[in-house]
Amino acid sequence: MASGTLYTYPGNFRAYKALIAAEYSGAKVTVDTSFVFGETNKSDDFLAKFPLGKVPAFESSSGDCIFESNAIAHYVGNAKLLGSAQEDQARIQQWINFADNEILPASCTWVFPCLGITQYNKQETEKAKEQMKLALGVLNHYLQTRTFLVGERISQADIAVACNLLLAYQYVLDSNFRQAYTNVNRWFVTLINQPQFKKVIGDFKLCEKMAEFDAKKYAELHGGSGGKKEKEKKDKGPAQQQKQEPKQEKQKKEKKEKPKDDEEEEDDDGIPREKESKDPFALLPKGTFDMDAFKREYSNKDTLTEALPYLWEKFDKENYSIWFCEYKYPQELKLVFMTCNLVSGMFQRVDKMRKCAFGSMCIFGEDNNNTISGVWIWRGKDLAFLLNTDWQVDYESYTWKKLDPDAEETKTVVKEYLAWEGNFGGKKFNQGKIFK
Amino acid sequence: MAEAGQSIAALAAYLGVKAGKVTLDGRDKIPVVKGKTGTRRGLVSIAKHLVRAAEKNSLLGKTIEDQSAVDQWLEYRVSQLDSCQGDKELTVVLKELNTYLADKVYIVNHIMSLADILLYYGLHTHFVGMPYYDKENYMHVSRWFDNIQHEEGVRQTLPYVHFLRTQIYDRMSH
Ligand SMILES: N[C@@H](CCC(=O)N[C@@H](CS)C(=O)NCC(=O)O)C(=O)O
Repeated sequence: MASGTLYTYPGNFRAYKALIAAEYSGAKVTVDTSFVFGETNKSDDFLAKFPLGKVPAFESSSGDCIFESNAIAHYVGNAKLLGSAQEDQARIQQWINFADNEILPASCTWVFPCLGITQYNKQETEKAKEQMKLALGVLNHYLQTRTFLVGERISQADIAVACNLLLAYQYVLDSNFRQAYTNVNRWFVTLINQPQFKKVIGDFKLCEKMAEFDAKKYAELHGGSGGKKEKEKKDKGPAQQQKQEPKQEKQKKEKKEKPKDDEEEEDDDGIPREKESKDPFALLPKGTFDMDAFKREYSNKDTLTEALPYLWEKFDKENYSIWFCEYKYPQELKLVFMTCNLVSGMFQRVDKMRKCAFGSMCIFGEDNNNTISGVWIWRGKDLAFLLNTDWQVDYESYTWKKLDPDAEETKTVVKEYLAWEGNFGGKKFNQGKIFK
Repeated sequence: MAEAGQSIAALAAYLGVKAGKVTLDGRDKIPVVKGKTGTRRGLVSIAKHLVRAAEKNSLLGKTIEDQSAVDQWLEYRVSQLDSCQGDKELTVVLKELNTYLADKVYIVNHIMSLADILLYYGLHTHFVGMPYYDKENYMHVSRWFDNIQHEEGVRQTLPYVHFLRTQIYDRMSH
């Protein structure tokens, strides 16, 4: 039977998939309690075993190193959970993939803004709700005549799908929303009440009132106010913040009573902010271009017909600059998702630039043949990365070219990179990531 | 009418204990077992005794609340299900169960108990001959029944009851 150490931050629903599997199989899985998210998983030692630096990650007593939560769950599971007949195994795979591809993206898009982890975007959230309805509808229909997903007994299929639904059931699927999915509810409630689930998840309370975007929390987590919180966030994993959420519920309710747009008002409320003085951008003239307002425009409105015209109308070329960058070592880029991680990593490392910078990084090509280039806008006329040594990890891997805001070519490049469509100088667009 | 004697034999086999000799007493055919530690009368007390003898007490419910809920459903099997005279009374039971099971996987508290096992044994004869139309009508009982018959060691030599996974009848009235 498998045994070993699991690396994760507490409350990680991905880790739950493996921990619950271990409860069923009896595998001895110990969670490394000294794990610090953002540190342990970025140490050389860890990266040597798990080059992605992501968690959960599992090291067996025999020295096998496994990453990807579903693979870890497989490793520590048993034949009952994984199915013995090939047909059952296939069905179990089907639901595990369904959980990751049909449920998880929608659930994250919907829930994360409510926890302040990501910015709210109305269109995206509405789209996510629809996706969620679709996925739950399929599940509900399937479970009408079935108790569990595969073979009338609990398998990894149930564990994976239920774990990926945890966030949604906790924060947004309130009783009103849920009532259309009675079969899913029955199945979910049964699962989370199994002793093996309870041992890992603890007592679980279904959502009472659908959570909404928490602007204040978002500002806290993303350096909008007070530097302390920011640090705390670094030390813990995302889901742990979620766990703390309920305790702050009361506080949150009070906030909710304030006018909706207090997020905007925050900036001019005259309260001196410690953060501001440490922000290198603060030393540069503020100018007339409102970066936050532009980002809202970009997030919530149509790029071509609204956000871009807004940009060109308001852009302050005396105090802001536009840059084009290109990755210097495309031959080293392998799989597209790894390239994506490279970009996400960069975004994380320059997170503190967020207040005064905006960027769109695009990946072109396909696996084993891809490149990265992007367009950035920030306060100041020079390369912003020079303002702070913490921001200099990635920028040297790119060539940087300042663009003339009045040139026609600039308008075209900015349009293509912000709208994620166009000719891109003949390169094949694969996907983009926005720093905002 | 479900045979209490068969249920006792099947339960004993499931639990891996000996049932002893079951006699049916009187006009109501109440099962009686005479054992070394005394005589037990009635399906409920015999069944609970077997569970304890097998040291599987968790089948009787873990908390006091669960235990009394299991007891109630054992009573239900005897007083409502076993006493059914004809289809009309059975329909009432199936309807009741169907509503009750709509949001439940097991009869009591998310885990299989003696209540599930004895109701399954009690309903088995009725399900064997049931047309698909009715199985679909009592969809939640069917789903529950199907799950219990797949529990390891419960069904034994009882005929497997087949259920359709997709609905075939249009139910506009629903
Ligand atoms: N598909 C992976 C996703 C793992 C993942 O994204 N982990 C996040 C935390 S939930 C992480 O470790 N991020 C750290 C990083 O990207 O540097 C899985 O299911 O295990």
